[in-house]
Amino acid sequence: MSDYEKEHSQFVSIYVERLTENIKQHANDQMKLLDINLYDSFELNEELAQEITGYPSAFSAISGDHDTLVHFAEDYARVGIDQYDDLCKEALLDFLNLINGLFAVYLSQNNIHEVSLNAPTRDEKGLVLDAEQIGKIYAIPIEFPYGIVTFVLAEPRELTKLTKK
Amino acid sequence: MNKENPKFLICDDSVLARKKLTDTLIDLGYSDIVCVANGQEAIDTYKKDRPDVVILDIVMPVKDGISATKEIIEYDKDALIIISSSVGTQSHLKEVIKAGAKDFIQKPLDPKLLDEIIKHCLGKIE
Repeated sequence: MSDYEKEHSQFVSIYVERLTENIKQHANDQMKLLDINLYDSFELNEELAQEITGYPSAFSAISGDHDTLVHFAEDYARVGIDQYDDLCKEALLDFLNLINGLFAVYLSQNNIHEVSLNAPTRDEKGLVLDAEQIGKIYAIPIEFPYGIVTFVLAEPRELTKLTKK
Repeated sequence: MNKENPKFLICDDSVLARKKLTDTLIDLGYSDIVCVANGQEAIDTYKKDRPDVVILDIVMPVKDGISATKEIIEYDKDALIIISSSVGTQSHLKEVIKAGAKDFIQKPLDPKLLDEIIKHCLGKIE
């Protein structure tokens, strides 16, 4: 394993650890981390994403069926979200921004890496992630009593080549 | 400056974050609050409305909070700017201070800490 691969592997492990801790703390502690899968290609029906910038950088996204995402958004925001609308999507992006920010703070405080974030992005057209173009794609499924929310973490080598659906 | 009922300018690209921060400020007893969604809007609104306290996010489209802080401070060196962000990394904290912000608060917001920071900025407590 090259030095880059070791660093990327550590990056992913820490990401998953911080993600699960922060979900418990800020959304719902009745959660279970399911098996993490590596994909050659992953399709997002709607882009709810954020790029982690710096070294190593990554593309992150949140995915799931609408009913589950509505429940999850309300678990986090607690503002009466009951349908998959603009407020629900904003809450999901706000959560993604929070967990990515807290991840960046953890890396910084432990002198592991200094990364930053781009503004979250939202596009109803969806997105196809291709490992040949962007590197390893990890799907991190989290099970809640109401369904499964999948967090996606991909290593973006050439983000400009991402294919819109 | 009206220390008893200061005018706030909140700048965050997240609708939810703006709502939560507005609700927190109202709970803390403040009522004069204006919200905008990116750094450029914050600069424009600052010049127009001259708020007493500005609370800015860092990661935003169009113009980020650190660039906006620099431009507001260039316009008014006495501007009271508090940065509120989830990305409180060491490098960002250095940039925030260098840009001229008075303080930083890590998201998710702790209302008690926010209250202390605001009072400190307004000179109400040492």
